[in-house]
Amino acid sequence: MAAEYDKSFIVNDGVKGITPIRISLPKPPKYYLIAGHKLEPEDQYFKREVMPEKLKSLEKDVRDKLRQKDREQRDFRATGQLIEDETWRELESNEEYYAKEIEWIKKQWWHRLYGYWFFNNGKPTYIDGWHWFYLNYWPIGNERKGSHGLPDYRDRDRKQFLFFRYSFTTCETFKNLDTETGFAIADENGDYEIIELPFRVCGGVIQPKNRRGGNTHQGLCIQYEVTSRTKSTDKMSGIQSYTKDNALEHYNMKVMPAWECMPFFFKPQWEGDTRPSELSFTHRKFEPTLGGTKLTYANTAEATAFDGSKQLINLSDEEGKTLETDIIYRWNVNKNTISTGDGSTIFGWSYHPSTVADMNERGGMQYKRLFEMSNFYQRNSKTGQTQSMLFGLLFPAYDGLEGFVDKFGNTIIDVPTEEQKNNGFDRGYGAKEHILSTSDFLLKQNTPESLKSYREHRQLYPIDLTDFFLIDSGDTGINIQIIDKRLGEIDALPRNQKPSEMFDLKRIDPSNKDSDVIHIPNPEGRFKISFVPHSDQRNKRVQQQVFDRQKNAYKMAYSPIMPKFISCGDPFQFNTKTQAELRRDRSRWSNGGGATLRRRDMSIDTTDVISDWKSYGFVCTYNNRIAILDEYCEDMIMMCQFFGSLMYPETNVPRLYEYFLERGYGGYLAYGIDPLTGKIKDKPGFFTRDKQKLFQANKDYIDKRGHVENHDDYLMECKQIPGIEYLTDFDLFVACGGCIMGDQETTAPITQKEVNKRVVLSGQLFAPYRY
Amino acid sequence: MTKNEINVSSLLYNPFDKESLKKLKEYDEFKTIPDDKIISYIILAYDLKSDVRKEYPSRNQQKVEAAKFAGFKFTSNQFDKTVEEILIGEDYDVNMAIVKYLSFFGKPELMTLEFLYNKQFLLLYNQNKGLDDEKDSHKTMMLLKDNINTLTEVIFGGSETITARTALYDYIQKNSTISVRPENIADKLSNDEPPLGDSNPYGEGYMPDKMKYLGGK
Repeated sequence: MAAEYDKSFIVNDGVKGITPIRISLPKPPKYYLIAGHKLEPEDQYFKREVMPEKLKSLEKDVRDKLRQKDREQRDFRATGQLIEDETWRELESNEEYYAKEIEWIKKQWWHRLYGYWFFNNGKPTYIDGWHWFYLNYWPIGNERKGSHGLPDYRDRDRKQFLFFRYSFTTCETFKNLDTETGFAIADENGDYEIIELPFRVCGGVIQPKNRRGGNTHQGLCIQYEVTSRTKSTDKMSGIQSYTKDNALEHYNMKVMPAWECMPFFFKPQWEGDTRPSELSFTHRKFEPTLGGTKLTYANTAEATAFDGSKQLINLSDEEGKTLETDIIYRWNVNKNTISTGDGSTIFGWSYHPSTVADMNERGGMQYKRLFEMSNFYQRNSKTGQTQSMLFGLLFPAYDGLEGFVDKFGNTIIDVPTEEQKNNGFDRGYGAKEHILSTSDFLLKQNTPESLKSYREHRQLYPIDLTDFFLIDSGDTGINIQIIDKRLGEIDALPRNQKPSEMFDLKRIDPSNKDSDVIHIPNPEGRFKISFVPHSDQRNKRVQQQVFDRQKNAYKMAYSPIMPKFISCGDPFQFNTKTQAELRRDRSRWSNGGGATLRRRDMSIDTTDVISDWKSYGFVCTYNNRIAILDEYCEDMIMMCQFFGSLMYPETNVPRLYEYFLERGYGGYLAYGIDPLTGKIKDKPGFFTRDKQKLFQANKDYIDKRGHVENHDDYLMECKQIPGIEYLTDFDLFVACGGCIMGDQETTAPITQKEVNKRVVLSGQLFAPYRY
Repeated sequence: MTKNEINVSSLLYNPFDKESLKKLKEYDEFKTIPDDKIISYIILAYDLKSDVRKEYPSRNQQKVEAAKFAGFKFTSNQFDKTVEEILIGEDYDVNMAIVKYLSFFGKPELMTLEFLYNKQFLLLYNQNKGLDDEKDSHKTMMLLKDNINTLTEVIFGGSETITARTALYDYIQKNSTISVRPENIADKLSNDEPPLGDSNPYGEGYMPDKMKYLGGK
């Protein structure tokens, strides 16, 4: 009895930091029509098509005959087109003789267009037509005996191609979206309500990947499949890579060999000789006035390469390696080549694979940003599109890892089953453990060489989202081994025991903007909190006279009482609703970062060994894309009020501290001491122009406190930041660094004895408390 | 599938074995069949365990292929007129033989159909001979015709008795060689026409369902 077919498949699964996507699968036809139904389960696996002998002979005989004529007659040339045409003529004039072969060709076409069913170890399994075409007709240089250079069947590829097809055809979007952020809102059960729009919502897929996955070949294969069966006078498919030479290499070394092997029934008439400089398919034999589609490559990595064209399938390869151009700008140009009406009607599709281990700083950071703009769960409420019009796709490196794939194409991820052992798998462990054990081993060696190898290994075999963007820019100095270990510990904890959870902070009385702040658990909330002060320690504040330097006058303002915390906010650029609305492209919005650090409590931590402290560490993190700056500033006030924390703001954008002053919360602002003069600074907070100091603060913190840090979002930013030049893209990193600097540069840590001292306000503006 | 690949052992009679066909001819319904190829065709197209029925999902395709395997000449995408009549169910004698063959499988509706065919035959015979003793013979005749049509649809699948010729040649036309050239496929796709006619390895009308998002778990 055959096993039940799978009703769905899942992608982006098992990658920490990204939400999985589950997609339905088609219902199977009658089982007796599925390939392999007569076989025993152990003999049921993917088998390639075998061309009937009569067709092989037909092609060969025609070719031999015409080449013979070519040799014998001076004025005759056996061109490729003539050979193909003569093959068809021979077939068509002997229909009866080739009746079964013609039926077979029809089957090939059907599977290419609509997909293929086969029994795989007892289970009816569906693969998409692109996947079937790739497995049967797209040589990739596979050296395994018997493969004829064609790819092997991999379950990971099955999911990948199915997701490609979904992205190529879907008109679905989420019904309930956050009006500000565009994030899909789930119901109480965690389910999303879906609606169908009357148009396509996705223009392609962006996929960071490890090496040797065959992704470039897969993209090229889809280009050929679609382009060679599309009738159009003005459409084309283009290959673009990080350099023009690489695009040309893909065409010459991958497309041409595959095309040369293509059987006549999948090879439309073309222009040019046997190795044309571009594949220009023509329908002129049938309609003399009609031009055709073409598959070509870009002569440059610049955005202008395909500008003005209409693309069926675009391949943007290795964007993470691109130095020659801004890839986000390039994609914004290319977006209009696969769609019309400012992206309102999508007719094409675009694929963006890039090898993680090869990313450089510039291209890598832009690629990371493009990936973040491709969040499946963040949509435009009108168009249903993500910010980039693409969907992000990831597979952990262990899925499809060579040496861990059984004859059915499935990856042995965990401990192998008895059946897998009986089928010849002779290792006692799976692919995931293989990768993790290599990492662990390198970590344990703890030498500079092994730790360098550790980082390289994580890049080559990425598992977590952070690994996929571990862009190599030399050594940042941040100890990612500590981070990985701590992230692993946090990850291993059950969901209800995670050290930090998401909350909203709200005013208890919404009509009173200065009322107490309460925390409300909400998985979609803006604040990640790991420590909640006792109820009588929350909202502790006094209203008193403070000096407002801008108005040169004393003013009543709120101040925290005996602050045990220090916060930092890293604000962004826009401050009005109008300005935000003008920036329709959310991708250009910056994130607002924020963090609160619990300062050392000397009543608890008496030793000077920082790594042993219990009280010191981050208690709240905030990293959100908010349209209106003042709303962000209000969130920062609530955070400070709730924890009774000082605010040490990043002041490149002055709006945050100005807002605190305007709202009457000037007493919360913390001031550093100028190291040159020894005086309190004129303005609160710090400038990120002192990048080295900020970077060093984070680095030192990870060294000493990373092993117990509870905020994985902060740890991930520390791991991902490729260099000091990228601080503007890592808002939480800046905010947390600001907290650490604020802790060191403002007042001394609070002691039990000092708590009872009288608070004295001093300084030229709103100086920190002196005790 | 080739002729040699057909598993004849699972069939009630071997369509390619003269001795086996001879046994069938012992039945009255088969005595009037003038050509062994027709009997082979009946076995290949109507035996419930025929590989032709399994291999070719479309009913019309089954008939065409069964006729070809039986040895009927098929030139320029056409059968002879007499074969064509057999395939579309216009040959009374062959229909009777088919019903008889189907009766071997013990399906009540097949037996009923056989009875109705016989009854119809008897009525016609008596009318022609002036021996009609039924009061409402016309009404009975119409009722019989309706029942036969209904049962034929159930047994043979689809309304082929009405549109058989059109369907058969539609099938042949749609599936002629010319349609599998890449240029023709492209042409049909651009016109939103089914590029492969009725040809479908998974049975007439089967198409994979469109994929849908199900959730994040």
